[in-house]
Amino acid sequence: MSFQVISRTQRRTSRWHKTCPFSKPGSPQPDYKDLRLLQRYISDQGKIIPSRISSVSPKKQRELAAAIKRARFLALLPYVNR
Amino acid sequence: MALYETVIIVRQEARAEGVASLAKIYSEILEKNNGTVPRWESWGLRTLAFPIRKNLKAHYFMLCIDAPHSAIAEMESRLRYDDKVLRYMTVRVKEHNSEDSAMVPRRSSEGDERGTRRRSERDEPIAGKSDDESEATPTPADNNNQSGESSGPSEAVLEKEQA
Repeated sequence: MSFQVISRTQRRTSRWHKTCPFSKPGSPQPDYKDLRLLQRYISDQGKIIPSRISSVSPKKQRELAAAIKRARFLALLPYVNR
Repeated sequence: MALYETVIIVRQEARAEGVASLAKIYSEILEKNNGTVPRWESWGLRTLAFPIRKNLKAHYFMLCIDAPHSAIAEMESRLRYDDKVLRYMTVRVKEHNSEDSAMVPRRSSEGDERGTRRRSERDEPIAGKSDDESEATPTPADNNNQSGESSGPSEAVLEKEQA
């Protein structure tokens, strides 16, 4: 085994091969009305999936969380799934 | 003036034409207060993700509004005292969509697909959860769901009703 020195950022970029699905121009935006989109970002329990798993950028994750919470208030999405 | 979207959730007892008349009433309130409603859309009768004041289903509609804040305040104060309205939410938006949102049911596939399309897997646990307080949960409609863990209690409810 070779002891190659890998910097922190290198390791990160190699692992984070995926990019934010909302940040490209023309990509869909988080919207409380688009349930099919939002459902991809909640777990089976109904929790919001963390951005470290879904690789959504911090800015879009905030928008996404707001959209999910709006949809929950309108009883379009559950607060909890048991 | 500012652009808003208001989603209003109405009790199931109101029919489709009742929803249309409510939309008209609130549009007129806005117009009296120097607002306009260029478009409104009905999302139809939907199953709620959780019961709201013991209602399991409700009609949804959305008004696209261009109005000053005072008009919004007036409309919301009316909505607050309307017993047909279960819940409402007004959101400020940058622009209105000219076509229908994803929530408007598709006419061709409305009847046969309704249960399976978006919500069936989410509704099942809630129906199971609420069966202790109201036994008339719409569990028979969710029979196509394959999750064995939550279909158990719903079958128990059915047997109890038959006995």
